[in-house]
Amino acid sequence: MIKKLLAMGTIMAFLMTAGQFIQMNDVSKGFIDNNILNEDEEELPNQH
Amino acid sequence: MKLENFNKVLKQARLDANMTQKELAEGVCTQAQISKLERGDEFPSSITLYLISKKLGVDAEYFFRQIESDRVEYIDDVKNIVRKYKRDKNYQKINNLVRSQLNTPLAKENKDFYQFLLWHLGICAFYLEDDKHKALKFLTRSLSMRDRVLDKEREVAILNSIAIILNEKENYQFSLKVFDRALEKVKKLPIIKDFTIEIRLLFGASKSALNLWKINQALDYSQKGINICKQYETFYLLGELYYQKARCLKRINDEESAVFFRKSIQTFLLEDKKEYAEVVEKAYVKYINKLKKGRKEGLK
Repeated sequence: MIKKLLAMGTIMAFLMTAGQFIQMNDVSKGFIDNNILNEDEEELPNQH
Repeated sequence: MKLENFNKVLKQARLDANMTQKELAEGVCTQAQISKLERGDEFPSSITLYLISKKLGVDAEYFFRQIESDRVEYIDDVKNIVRKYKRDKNYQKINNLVRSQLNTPLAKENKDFYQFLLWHLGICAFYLEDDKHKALKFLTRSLSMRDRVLDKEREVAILNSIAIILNEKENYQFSLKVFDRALEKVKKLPIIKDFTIEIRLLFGASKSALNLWKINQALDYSQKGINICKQYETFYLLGELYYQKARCLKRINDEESAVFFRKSIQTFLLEDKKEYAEVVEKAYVKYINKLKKGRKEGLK
């Protein structure tokens, strides 16, 4: 029983790490794309 | 209705009527009972309340109206302080104030106030903790209260905050969709109490559209925003909108861009927003240099 739980925990941890990695990859890809799109002028902040 | 302030209202009314506790008690109840009422140890029966109000020369409703107006004034005060901090972008102070109010009976009882607090808790989570998910969770929770709140403009303001957060996280596509949805909702409002909300939405929408290279759309939003500023004779976000228009025109190589860079700088200087004027000035100088360089190369 304990072995089964440990195995499940390991799988879960692996899946979470993989998920985070994929997400980070997407974020960095978006960042690069937007840097190319954005020209050199600075943006002014929005108002809530 | 919470009656915990009844004692304060009663004492104030007695002092306003220039009476001692003994004088008020005559023909109504004992002086000891008046004392207990003013300390908040007891609440009056309806008959005692009727007799007290008659003696003080007010109707019994007076006490309830006073209790309610005190609470309304208090909520308005909190909202005004939060708005001031928001203009100064002092999110730490907003967070402290909002958190101190969140678990009060007033916040739990007044849905409008609770929604206002949740909305700002969302904004603070984004700027102080850089936690987009937490921020959006608070914002959608406050949005879900829309059917229980009378203020329909609030819904639009919360959508504006959601769109801004999406924009700042560079999710421009989704951000623009939310801005558009909020703008549609503004059109459906029977009365707009706060005209600045539409200007805020148009400015944000223009920024998101420009980041998506939807230049004509971005230009259209900024022009609409400028028109509203002119209609209401306000400087609110006018400098930002001129700058936005200049940026759009620059992208399509329209030399009229320079005119709007200058208008933006002048507006910010009039408003004494030197930091913003400097940002625009920097972009303007770069643009002019680029133009000059282009012309020289053309002559060669």
